[in-house]
Amino acid sequence: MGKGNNIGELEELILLLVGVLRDEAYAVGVLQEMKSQTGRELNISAIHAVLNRLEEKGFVSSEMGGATQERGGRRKRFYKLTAAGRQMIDQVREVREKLYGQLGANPVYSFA
Amino acid sequence: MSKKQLHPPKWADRFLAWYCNPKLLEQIQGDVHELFYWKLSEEGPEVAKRMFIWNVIRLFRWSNIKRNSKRQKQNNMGIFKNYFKIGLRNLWKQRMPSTINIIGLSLAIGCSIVVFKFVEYNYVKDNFHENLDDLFLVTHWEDLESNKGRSGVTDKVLSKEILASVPGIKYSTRYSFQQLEARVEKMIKYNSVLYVDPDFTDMFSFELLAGNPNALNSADYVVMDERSAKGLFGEQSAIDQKLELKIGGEWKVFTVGAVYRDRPMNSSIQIEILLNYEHLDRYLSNTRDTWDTNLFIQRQDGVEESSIVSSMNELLPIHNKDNEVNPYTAFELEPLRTMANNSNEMSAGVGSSPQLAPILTLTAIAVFMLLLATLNYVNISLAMVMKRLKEIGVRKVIGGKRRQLISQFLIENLLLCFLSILLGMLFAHSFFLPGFNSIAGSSFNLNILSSTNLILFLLGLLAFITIASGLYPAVVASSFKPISILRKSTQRSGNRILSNIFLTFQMILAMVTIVAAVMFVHTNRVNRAMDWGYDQYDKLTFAIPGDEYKEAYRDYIESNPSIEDFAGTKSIIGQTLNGVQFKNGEVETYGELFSVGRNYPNLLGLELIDGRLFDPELDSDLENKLIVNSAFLERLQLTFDPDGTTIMQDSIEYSILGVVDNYHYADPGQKIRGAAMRAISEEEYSAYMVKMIDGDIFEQRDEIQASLQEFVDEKTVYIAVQSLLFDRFYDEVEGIGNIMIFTATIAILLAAMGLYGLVNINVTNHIKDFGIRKVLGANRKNLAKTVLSRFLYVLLIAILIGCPIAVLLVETLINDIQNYAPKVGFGPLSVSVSILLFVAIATLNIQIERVRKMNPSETLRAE
Repeated sequence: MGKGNNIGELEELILLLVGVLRDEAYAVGVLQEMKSQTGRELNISAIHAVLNRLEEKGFVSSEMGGATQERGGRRKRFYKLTAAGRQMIDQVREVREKLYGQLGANPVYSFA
Repeated sequence: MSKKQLHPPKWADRFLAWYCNPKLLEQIQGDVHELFYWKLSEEGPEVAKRMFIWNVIRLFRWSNIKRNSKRQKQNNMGIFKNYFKIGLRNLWKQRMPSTINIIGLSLAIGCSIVVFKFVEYNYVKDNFHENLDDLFLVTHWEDLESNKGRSGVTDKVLSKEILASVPGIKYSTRYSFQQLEARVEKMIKYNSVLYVDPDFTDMFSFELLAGNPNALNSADYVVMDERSAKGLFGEQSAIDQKLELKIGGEWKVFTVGAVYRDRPMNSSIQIEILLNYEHLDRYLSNTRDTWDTNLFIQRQDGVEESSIVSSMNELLPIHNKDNEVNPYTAFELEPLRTMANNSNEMSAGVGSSPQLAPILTLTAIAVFMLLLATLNYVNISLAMVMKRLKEIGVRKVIGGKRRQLISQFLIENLLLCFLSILLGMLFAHSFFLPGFNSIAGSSFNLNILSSTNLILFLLGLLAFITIASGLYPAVVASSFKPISILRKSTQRSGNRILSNIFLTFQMILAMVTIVAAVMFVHTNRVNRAMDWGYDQYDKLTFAIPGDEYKEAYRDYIESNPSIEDFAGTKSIIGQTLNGVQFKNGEVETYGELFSVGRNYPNLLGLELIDGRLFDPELDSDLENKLIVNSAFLERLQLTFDPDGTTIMQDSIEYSILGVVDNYHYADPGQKIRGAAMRAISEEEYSAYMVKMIDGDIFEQRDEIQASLQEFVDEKTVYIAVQSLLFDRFYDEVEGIGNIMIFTATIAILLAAMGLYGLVNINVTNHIKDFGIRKVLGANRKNLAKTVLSRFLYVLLIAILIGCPIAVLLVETLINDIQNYAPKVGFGPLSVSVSILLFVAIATLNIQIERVRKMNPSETLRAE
């Protein structure tokens, strides 16, 4: 069980977004999508860092795209969810739901 | 978009481009730019700009900066192997320039190895002792009128107390030097003797050849080195031989107990003949209570130097109470390692400190040589690189990086420099070191394996010449744009100015060394032909071996028909010096005071200017009368008065009888100062000077020597030829002159080789040009003009600049060594210029001949 098998909250979010964006998943795309879907705006360098980390762990793969019209013709690096990444998302969701189910209908609040 | 388009802040963008790994730059820069325009459309330019800057700063992190990701590590060995292969092929392909480079560099390297050896010898002393770190000379500070500062000798009584009470001393030896007469089977010789304690052989690591190393424990034994043994006993084994030494007027018999190999050249501690200190003790205590001696100690393992010193200092209060005249301030231990180098900082130290003048001169020569050879190299490599432009262009087009190209050129260079170092060592070993040894009387050899310093020096030299000679050509070569190389539009004479400057500089260096050589030879000639102030050619001087022979010598001289005249003397002019202080009222100066027989000045042939010489018949001339030279009057600001000019020396008043012209009482390395002669009576004579009738002075000397030896027992008769007295100086100066000639030869060789290499490449590059000229009917003169045009003015400028520089440098150098050096005049300068011009023109002529003999169809048919 190396560190590669664990995943943080931000990593999970970005992994999901990469999956959601499909063929349009590159750093700025992820940033904008995150802002529109969750309202969170991260710094671009944080996104780069997380994407690199996910790639190292093998949950996403990347390759350079073709020349673009915008951004001065510079190419983008596109990310894709790998099978391991998909599995990880499923696994996290499973754990969540299992735990959620144990909460019961009437939640117990603590006022202590 | 018709509005003025807004851009991200330029400086931030540039900063990003500067720090970012080029491999990541495109995507990262794309991202921040995209974000900028997005923010611009949503929140306006201010926010967009601020955010852009913030992003650039946030992206400034190591993962984006570092250039090499692990994946891209290449196998460098393969490429290096390839560089070596290409390097070797290139060396072979361009044989001629490569050979010039290698030979030039190796000559310079050979010279620097010799100089290194010399400098090392001067600075690294006494490093061969096993216990080096534990050996010390006991020194102390004192505050006397005669010596304010440090002294290398210790009071004998105090040294005994030190050894008795100071803890931490393992071994110790006193060390005093004396010249003694040594007698072996009726032959007496003077020998250097060292009184030491028996620990000596345990402390210092000299190599025992035969005998018992503990022989000194017995006072009846002596220990000596090979040289002394050979001098006393010849080829037979010295062990257990008997030898007599005259200590304090008494002959004592000793047995040789051990023979050691001669001390290494860099040893300050001498061996000669070692004698138990007891003998000196016994002899000196007859007359004195105490005396000073050098004292060496070896500390016990792990004892601090400071603790020994502080316990030694504890003895001082008592010592100083008893010796108020000579109080010690404090002790200091001088490590053996630094003893010789610091010996000039104390009185009565052991060893000699480095001689700066020869070190500087030789170092300057070595640097000159290296500079010349390196410049040669740079110049020729630059020209060679021009032939390889296509290779560079192709390599760049297929992705060769500039750094790779530079390292390739440097590796080729390393190869060449390495070959040069090997060849240089060969030169040094078989020519330069033996040559230098015979001039300097040293015994340097090239023990590569046993000398760490030399290995370090050679490695340093290799690194230095590789970088110094190769970096610039490599940088130039790799800087060309491939497109301009492949379009053939590169200017092939791009470095012409630079290479001309180098060539000029080389020629100036060559010029300076030639002038130096010419001047040294010239000065030496002038000095040898110099007027000594008297006739030195027909004079012999024999020292009287002892008072008992005085009569016999005199009888012999009077009866020898080939002796024209003779005079007794104590001082031998040309050999003896006796500096004393003279006083004329307020004016005080040092001058020589010689003691001679009354007819000595006349016999010597001094030229009288004023007054009279001593009168052999007049006994009053024996009483405080002087014959002085004219420098004497000048320096003491006197004018000669026949009725009596007086001068004080100590408390004696002398009156001056006569003035003679200046004469050389010492070699021309010393300036003539004031010199005075006083007359002595026959009882004080210790030598006779004789004037011979015409004939071969050397035959006459041998004859007299043989007949005198017949009635002199035990001692060798010594006869000095007056005209040879300064020969040691002349030989020394001639040695320096030879070094200068050698330097000049190498310098001019290097310069000529540089010139040859450049002209050769220049001609080769323009070979078609010459072909066309020849086809169109150019004659020899025309061709020569084309070849020469570029180089002749370099030569002229070098001569114009070189002459004044040479005059300045050489005069400084020569005046440092010689006191009677002629000025660097027109004659020596024109000789030097002719030599330089001759060599240069001869070099150029080789290429002119090549062009002249070339068949134009050979060079043009490819077109």
